[in-house]
Amino acid sequence: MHWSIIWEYRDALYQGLLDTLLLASIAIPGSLLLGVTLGCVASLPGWLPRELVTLYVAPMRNLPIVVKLFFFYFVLGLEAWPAGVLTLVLHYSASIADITRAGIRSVPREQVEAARANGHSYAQAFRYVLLPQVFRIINPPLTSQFIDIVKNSSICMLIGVQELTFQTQEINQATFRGFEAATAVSVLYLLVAVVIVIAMTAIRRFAFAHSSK
Amino acid sequence: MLSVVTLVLLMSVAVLAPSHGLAQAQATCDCKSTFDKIKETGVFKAGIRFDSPPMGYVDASGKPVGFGADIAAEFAKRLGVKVEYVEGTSRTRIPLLLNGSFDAEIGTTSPTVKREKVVDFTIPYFWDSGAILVRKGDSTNPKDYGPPKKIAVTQGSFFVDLYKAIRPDAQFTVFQEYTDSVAALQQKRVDAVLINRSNAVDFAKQQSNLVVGDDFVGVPVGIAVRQNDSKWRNWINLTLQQMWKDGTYKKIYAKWYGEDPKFYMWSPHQLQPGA
Repeated sequence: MHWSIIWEYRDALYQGLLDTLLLASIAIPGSLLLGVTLGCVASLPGWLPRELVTLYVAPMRNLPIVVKLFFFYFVLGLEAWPAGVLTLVLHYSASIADITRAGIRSVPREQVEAARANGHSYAQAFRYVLLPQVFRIINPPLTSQFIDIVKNSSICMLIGVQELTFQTQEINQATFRGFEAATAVSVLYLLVAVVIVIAMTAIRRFAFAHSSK
Repeated sequence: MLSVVTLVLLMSVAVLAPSHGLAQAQATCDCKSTFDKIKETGVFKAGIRFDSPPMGYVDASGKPVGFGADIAAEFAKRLGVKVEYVEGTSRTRIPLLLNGSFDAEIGTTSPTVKREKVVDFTIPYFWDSGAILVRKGDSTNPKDYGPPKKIAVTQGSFFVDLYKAIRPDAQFTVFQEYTDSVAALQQKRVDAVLINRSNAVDFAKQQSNLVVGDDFVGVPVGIAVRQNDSKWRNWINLTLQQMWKDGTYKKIYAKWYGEDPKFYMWSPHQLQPGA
């Protein structure tokens, strides 16, 4: 095994890691914002909001992510970075919308009813009673989605973004030490995932510490 | 947290444990030539391209065909064995050769010094060239594509270094496949694609607004085989020259390229003494 190539190519790996982190750091808040909004809209009373959101969520969840990427890049003609970030945001906002809707449904109706009985409007009940509980409930599945965003940011290498997986291929092509390169990159992705898990766990413990559950 | 630590420890063990065995395998040969192995098993497994017409591609019925495929079939005939085609893409051709999935790579691989460190090459069995593919109306001179023009190139291609020799300031966009690079060319995202002439000619045939520009480099293409296997490599070198002498090579070349080869096997003037 020639582990020295990891040190030799540390610049390439570093640049790739920065690109991956940049992609993820835009896609994670973007998809969270869009997904939670869509999930809340889908939980509004009546059949119309739910159907409208499904009209968006269904194609986003059923089309492969690479198909969407190529659509934005080759068909719509967006530049590489906007196409990549847009793909990640739209793809994951659909899953997050479904997760949020399920989270809202899992809070007992009595919570909102009690809030309304105390004089809060539906909007106030939603914002002060329902949402905080929802965020605590959906924290674990959101963690998985965020880690998935980091992993799937590698699709952007198909349109020329030189992120971490791309750099692995560069090292492989240059030195044929694909095994060592892949190991290094796996460790880096694993570290990013661990950081996300720690951050989300900390949020759950400290932001929602007052909850009884 | 503990499970993450355990996972990392397990991965390190998995990584370090087989390294001892692998190092040994690379240091000594397994001492039976591929030539003998092929005679024994009765099958010649040839790695060819499935994505590079006319060198190697898959026809409408799903059968692998092409110049490389025919050369492999001729080798099998002269060995008295069957031929079996295995796909080798730009990324997989060397790993698959090294792990024994095929016995020779008859594709579009150039014998670079870097590659010689891990595999051995026969004499060039084909001469291609690196050219630029451009839109109709644009310059066909490779030197004209410095900034702000952008050039598409495939990841891992050594065309990047060769092109930088004529234009050190060139800007590249890196794609995974030629088809993506050509799509970008059509969309005016890039102004030229660095590409093998044989692939370029094929694209220009299918898409009438693309034109093949001039060559910027001549590219020898060799057959890659595993290292330290002189018997097999020498047999291939000799057979290529015998195929040249008796006209079989020229026939196969004319079938796929429509003309006689513009190069000479082994050297520009003559075959190897004794061939």
